[in-house]
Amino acid sequence: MTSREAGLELIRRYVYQVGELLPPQQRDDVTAELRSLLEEGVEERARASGREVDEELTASFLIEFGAPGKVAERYGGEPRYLIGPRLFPTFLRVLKITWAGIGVACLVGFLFSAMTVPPCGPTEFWHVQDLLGWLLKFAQVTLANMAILIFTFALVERFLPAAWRPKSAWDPRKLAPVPAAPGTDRVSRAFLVVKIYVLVLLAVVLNFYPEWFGIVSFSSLGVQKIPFRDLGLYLPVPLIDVGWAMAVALGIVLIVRGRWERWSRWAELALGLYGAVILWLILTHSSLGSMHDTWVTQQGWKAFKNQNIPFYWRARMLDARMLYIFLAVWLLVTLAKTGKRLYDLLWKRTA
Amino acid sequence: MKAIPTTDVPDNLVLELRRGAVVLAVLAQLRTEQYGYSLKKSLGDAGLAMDEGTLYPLLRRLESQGLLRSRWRVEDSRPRRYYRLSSQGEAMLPALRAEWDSLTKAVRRVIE
Repeated sequence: MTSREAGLELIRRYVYQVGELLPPQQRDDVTAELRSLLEEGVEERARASGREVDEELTASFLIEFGAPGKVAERYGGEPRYLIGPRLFPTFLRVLKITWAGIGVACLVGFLFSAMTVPPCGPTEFWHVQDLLGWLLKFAQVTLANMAILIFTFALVERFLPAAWRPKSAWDPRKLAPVPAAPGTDRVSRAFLVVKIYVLVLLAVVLNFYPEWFGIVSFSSLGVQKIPFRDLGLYLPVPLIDVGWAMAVALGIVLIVRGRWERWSRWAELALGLYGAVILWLILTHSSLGSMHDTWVTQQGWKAFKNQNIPFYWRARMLDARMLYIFLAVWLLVTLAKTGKRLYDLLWKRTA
Repeated sequence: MKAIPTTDVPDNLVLELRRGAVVLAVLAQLRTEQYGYSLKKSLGDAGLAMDEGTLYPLLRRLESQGLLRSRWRVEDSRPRRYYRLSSQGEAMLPALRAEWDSLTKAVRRVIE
């Protein structure tokens, strides 16, 4: 290979590298032009310096021209992102919130199991092994969570850019009035995204993996998952699905519109009432005492009075009672929150 | 883009200053048909040296915006892509030039 051929070979490689970084529809056209321009530029440079084209001269010319990635970027027009600058702050906040939630859940799980489950491992370092197990779970769940979030945000970036793009034509007379209490119309997009994310996960579990929908029991038998249906809980799945679907729809509308309005406040209030009705149905139609009744029927009232109840049954009775109390408290909280929203809407004139 | 003869002004500020002016200069030069390298030379001869890595992608962008049109020609056994103003570019150039004149006058008044 002559020194000129060696120089032209550098250009060939360079153009190929730039082409690999360009969109396919641009590639052939841009690389053909770029090759012609680079060859001419190098030859002109050689003429001006009174020497022949060679590898050294071509290399210095290409270094001045710029790294292949940079040149391809300039040809590429608008930068392309997996998650662009508009969505990245929200993505980061959602990631932090969900990671914190997962971290707290894992920590509570570990502490609870450390306090309630008797050592059952082969060594005295059982709790250390348990801690490592929970750390591993934390790592797995956070990674899976991050993958789902990246995928979701990338889809939003790709398919819904127009919804969040500032509109070029606008009318100041159509701007929303400042609410009586400024700031009350503000929505947290990150919070809404987390809420939608959790609701979708819950809906998937409730509809497709109902056996996972339950509580975790720590006993001498080890950690056990008890599905709600085994505790006699009545779950009106279609009604719950409708409620969650409406909550997700309201969340998406709020994300797109970027603020609370009167109608969305009323919609939220209606959703709260709907949730309270569902909780009432669950409470009145569940047979959370059925385990107790079953055991008494099988073993006799005398054995129950003597508290001669095996731990397995005792744990489930306790779980059922705790669940009942939890649902009742949840219903009261929902009613109180709905009442406060109604008061705010009618008397405080919030957005 | 080659640095203009300044020693203390950071490159990014120079780039910011030149960005809009370069578009106008390129459009003005392409009232007559030219290919990338000849355009670079003519701009350089006029005192507006630009590096190729900036100029050539700019030509493509202006073409995609409809301000330039291009065609391939073979000269001296080398294929070259020639650019010139499109009808839309020709209509746009006087307006841009008027805008430039007004801007430079205003900036001069402000800084002097």
